Amino acid sequence: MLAIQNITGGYSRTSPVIHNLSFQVKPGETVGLIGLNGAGKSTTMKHILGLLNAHSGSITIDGSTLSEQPEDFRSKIGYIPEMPLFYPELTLWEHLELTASAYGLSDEIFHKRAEQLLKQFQMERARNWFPDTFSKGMQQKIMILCTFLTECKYLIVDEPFVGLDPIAIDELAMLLQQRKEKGTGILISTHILDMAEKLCDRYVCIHQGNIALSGTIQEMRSQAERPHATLHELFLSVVKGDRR
Amino acid sequence: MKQNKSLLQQRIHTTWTKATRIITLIASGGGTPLVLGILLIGFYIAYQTLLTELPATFPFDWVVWGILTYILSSVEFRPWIEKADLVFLLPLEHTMPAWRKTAFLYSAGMAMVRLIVVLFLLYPLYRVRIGTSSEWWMAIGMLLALQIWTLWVRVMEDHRRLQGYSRVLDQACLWGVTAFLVFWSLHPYQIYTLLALLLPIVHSIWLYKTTKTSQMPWMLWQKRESLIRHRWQSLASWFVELRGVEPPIKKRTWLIALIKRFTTQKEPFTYLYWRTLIRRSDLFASFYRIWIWATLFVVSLPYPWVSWTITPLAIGLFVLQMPRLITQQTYPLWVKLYPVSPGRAVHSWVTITRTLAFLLGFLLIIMPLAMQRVSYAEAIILLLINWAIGLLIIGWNKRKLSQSSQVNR
Repeated sequence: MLAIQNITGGYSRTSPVIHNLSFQVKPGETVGLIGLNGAGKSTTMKHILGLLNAHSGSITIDGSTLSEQPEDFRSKIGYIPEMPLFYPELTLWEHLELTASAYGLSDEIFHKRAEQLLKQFQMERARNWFPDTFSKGMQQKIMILCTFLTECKYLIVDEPFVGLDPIAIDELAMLLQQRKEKGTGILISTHILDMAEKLCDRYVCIHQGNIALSGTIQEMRSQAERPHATLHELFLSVVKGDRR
Repeated sequence: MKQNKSLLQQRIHTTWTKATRIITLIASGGGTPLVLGILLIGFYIAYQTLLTELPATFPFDWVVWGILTYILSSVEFRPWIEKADLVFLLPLEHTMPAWRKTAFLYSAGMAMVRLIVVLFLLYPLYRVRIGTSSEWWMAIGMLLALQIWTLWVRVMEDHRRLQGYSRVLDQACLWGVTAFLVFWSLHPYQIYTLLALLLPIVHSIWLYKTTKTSQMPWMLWQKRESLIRHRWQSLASWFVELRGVEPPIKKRTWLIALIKRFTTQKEPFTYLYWRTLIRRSDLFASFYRIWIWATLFVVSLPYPWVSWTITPLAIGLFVLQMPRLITQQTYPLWVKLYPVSPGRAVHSWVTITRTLAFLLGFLLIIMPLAMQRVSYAEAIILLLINWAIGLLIIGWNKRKLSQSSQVNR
């Protein structure tokens, strides 16, 4: 289980962005991290990934922290960033080869998965191209392909649908669903609430660095005392200040 | 319109300020002026030998004709269009003719400077074997005018946006007409030369009448500007390290295939660092630059001690720069998430650096051996010394990198 316990942190010690956050992602469930721009979603994810150090609190995967077992911790997490980040000097295929090599995939499994993913995301013709010639959506696909090439136990997915074409959105949603069914725990941050409703079992709604609502849609309705509200209405009630 | 023009002037001014700084940096450096001096003297001696020793039957006029045709035809219009201009200047397209005019004047000025330098270099050849001094001055006048004409044709060509065969035909036409006119400029037989001038005039009238110049070829010009900048930057990076300049990616497929064939790349960072080194890093240029410089020293200074000091120094210089491969490259953040320890990244660095040090050590002794500065036995000792120095520095750097938090993987 991915457990975030009382995390306070941010980019500077004096002005933390997130305050005392606690939630969990269990294997085989999808948790949606929702909030406005600047609410602290990406900051929370960076803390989970160990890219930022928390001021207080702890993050564990199956009971271990990053500092206790760095390689084991890292091998259990896959990450799709919001902004495509890639090596301009590597072709798409070389990105896949590099990822396979880092995660120790066998040649047979690598080729099988890579070919399938390339086909699924319609990237076969671009396999030997350098990513700086790609459109933004295609660059985002590199991140998706690399992440789904591995079989991580937990996926951290930051705004994955931005810039993707409709086919890629469907394929990604399907892949996330398949991974969940196979027992992967997924933490997904998105602004597309319709998509979140389709994919997520539970939600953590962050507002100004604090958890405003969390749980299943039913649990959030009772927390907000709005028994018939949709996710969209609950979200708006939080961010417009009807409820803190 | 005025604002556009001042933006262009500001852009030109900024570029030249930067260029002046780089030139000053190169000129004030120790090694480069010395090497350039050696090269210039070498060039002078070689040119003198060529003038005196080549037989009179050698077709000098054809060589001059070929060089000038190439220089005149390959002229390039520098548009000074940047990526952001496609957003911010696009709505001001109707004011862009003024921009184009200034950019044209700039490109024409630069092209003429280039032509004058070439003509200056060709003058001894022309004077000794081809024509008289007064004919030469006449030819210069005609060639400069011709250069303006070819540049103008290039601008029109950009506006016409030809593709495929029509583009090839157009290029062939320009090269053909230029070659014809250069010939008549070098062999001025009055009436025929004047008749030859009719050709560009007719061509220009036709181009002017058929080319629509109201729309700017934005994408083409933005791409060209970026290529021109990369070209200058990569030339400058031969002499100085340019920080903050994103180097162009070179595919170098054959070299990557060669490395894949002869090295083990199971380790992820070995795989990555080889590709970064060959396609993106300036360290690759450092490798052959150091080799060429050391070779030049060995060739130009005929003393055995030069080989015994320069080659170990060259190895040392190269290996000392190598940590940049993992400390200064900007690798994407998410790769930090790979389940691979920093120790393995350092190990990959050691493997690559060791391979390159062995290769460079070997390459460095070829010239001393070929020039008989050292005997075979001495060459082997020199090779072993070079390798030992390389390995020593690698070991020292490895310890430093292992303790450093700078290892950027």
